[in-house]
Amino acid sequence: MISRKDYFDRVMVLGQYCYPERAEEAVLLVLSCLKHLLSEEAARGIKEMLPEPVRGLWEEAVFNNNYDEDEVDCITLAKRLGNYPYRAAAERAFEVVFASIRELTDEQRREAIKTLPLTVQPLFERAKSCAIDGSAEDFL
Amino acid sequence: MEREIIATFRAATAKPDFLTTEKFDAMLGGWGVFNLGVWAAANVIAKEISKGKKLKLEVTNEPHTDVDDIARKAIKVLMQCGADPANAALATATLLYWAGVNVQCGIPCPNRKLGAVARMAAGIPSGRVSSIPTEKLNNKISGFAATLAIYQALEKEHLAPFDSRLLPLGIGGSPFVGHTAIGEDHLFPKLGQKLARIGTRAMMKAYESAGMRRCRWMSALLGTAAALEIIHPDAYVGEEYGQFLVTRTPEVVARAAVEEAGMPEVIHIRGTDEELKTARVIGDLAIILKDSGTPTVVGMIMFNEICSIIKEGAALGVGRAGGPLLLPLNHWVTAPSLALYLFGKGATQDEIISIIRKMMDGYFQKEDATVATNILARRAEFIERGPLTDAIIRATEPGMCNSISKRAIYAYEQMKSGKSLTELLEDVQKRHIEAIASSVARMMSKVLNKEIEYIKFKNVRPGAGRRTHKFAQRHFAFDAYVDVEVKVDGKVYEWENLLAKVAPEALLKGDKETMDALGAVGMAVTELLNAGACSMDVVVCACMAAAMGMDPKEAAEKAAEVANVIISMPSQGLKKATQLASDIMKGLDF
Repeated sequence: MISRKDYFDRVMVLGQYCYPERAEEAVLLVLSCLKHLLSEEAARGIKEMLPEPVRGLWEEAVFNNNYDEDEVDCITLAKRLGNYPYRAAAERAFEVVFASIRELTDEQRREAIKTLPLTVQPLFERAKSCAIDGSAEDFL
Repeated sequence: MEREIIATFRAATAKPDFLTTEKFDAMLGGWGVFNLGVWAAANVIAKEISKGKKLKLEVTNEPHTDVDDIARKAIKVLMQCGADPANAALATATLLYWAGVNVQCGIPCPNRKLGAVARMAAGIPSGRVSSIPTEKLNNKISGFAATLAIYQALEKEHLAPFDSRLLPLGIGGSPFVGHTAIGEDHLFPKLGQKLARIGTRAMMKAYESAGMRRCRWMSALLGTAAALEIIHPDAYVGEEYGQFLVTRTPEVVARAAVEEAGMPEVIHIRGTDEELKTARVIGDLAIILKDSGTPTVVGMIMFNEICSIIKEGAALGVGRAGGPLLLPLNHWVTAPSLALYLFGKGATQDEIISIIRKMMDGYFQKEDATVATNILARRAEFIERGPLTDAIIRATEPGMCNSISKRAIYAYEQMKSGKSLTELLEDVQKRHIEAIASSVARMMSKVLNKEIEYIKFKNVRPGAGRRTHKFAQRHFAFDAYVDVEVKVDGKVYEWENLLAKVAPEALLKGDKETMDALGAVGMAVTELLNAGACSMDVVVCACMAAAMGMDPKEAAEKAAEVANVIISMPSQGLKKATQLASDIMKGLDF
């Protein structure tokens, strides 16, 4: 199991963030938004599939600022809470976090994790291209 | 709505170049600039993105990729707009970079580098860093300074981290060194960083020795590029320098250059505040510069202006038209470059519009900058329509309409109440100068971390006495007389004939206190000298005079004579606009 520090370092590389704090912020924001929009049952199901240290972060992820409880779109919620300048930047945060999860899980778990809110499911697939498995495939 | 206001609005905005003293058609010949070509090329690239073309250099087993194809199309339109082939190649590679294309990928074959892709698309030979000039900052130097210093150092001392004579036959030059710890962990990063420091330092020294402020941005870029010309320019590096498949020598080498130049570790994108690692950007652009061919000074101006989407641009020397100054419009490409960056990232048109509007907040004169951006976008549409000019026109059209309408209504009311064109323009010019002074005082207080309580221009006119030619007596830009008072941190400075007397004397005597204090007003004076870039104040007043019955030619001549500071140099569009206002007025039958 990798440490949280190593995990955030890797997220920092995947997202080309300039500071580890940005990686941490992105991870917690993405996980919070997902938790918020999933049913309790689905959230529990995904948690079981997550690798450490993401599982621990999933448990800790909560909103600590004002948010729109009625918002049903994950990306819209993340864009607003993360102060992203445009929607694609918020999508990118999801892609980066999903890429980090892909790197730490096997194919079976990845399939299970796909029970995500509809708007972000394609991002989980797209994340393959920036995960190490994706870029290594590109190289070969 | 009064007919005079309608006629004035339509006449002033009928053609993009009526609102500036700049010569837009000459911009299409490559004479001094090719910025409209950059606007067009940005649209070309955006349209290719819309078609689903892949903006990625990949290690695919094929002779050509989508990026080659896009580069050819962008270079073609740039050259049609007067760009020299090497300048077109550099501009294309830089635009593609900001659109999201990676600068390099590869193994021995294919080994694709974005600068080389653009150069080969332009069909030109490779160049050397020693032949790359810097942007003109009054004077200019070249990468020769970096190259010279590096080779002198290589001659005087041993810079590699080991004794190269120990390398056995068959090992030196082989993967034994290049793809292992010797090369990746020691030789490339350690030597590269040493060379980049030497090159960057030499560039900064050369700038200063040639009478310029050191340009940290260009020094780091050419220092890095000169180093990459010697070391392996795209090798992977040891894990202590960065993760495998992510970090290569350009970024590692650039770290040293960035530090040597005193640049911040992180820079930001205008309008979005997105963070970028400075060393990554410098490394990426240095390798583009190294491979693009041999640009001219004009090409380097455009290169810098394309990069002026970097928010810290003004402080670091990354272009000059992105704000806060209102530069001559032949520099302006920040809007299309930023729009292309956002388009490549997947931003929607509405998001691009919102960010372009936010970018306008960074100018001392936001209204003038909005109008300037609008008229350039409209002129660029004659060359190449596309999603970027669409977005930029939507972003700036409301601001432009608001600015022209307000001025037209004000001019109408003033002239209706009996003011002559002369009286109106004296008032408008005074207000314009005061607005510049207060805006610069406010923004420069933050920049300099000083309290600039006020800037008062006491006398501003053409004819400082340096020249006797009548032309210089008439036009502010050619012999400007400025008396100014400024209060900085509680101390009042009062200067008479600032540009012809005070500033040169202080500088030649090495009077640091005066020169430091001048920092508080220098930008305001520069704004005045560049005021003709957006001449809407003068054009609207003159058009209103023509619409209200004044002879159009006389209105134009009187306006140029009275507003001799804010129009700063002869304007071809002014006479055409006043004539049109008169024509329109005669045609309105309601």
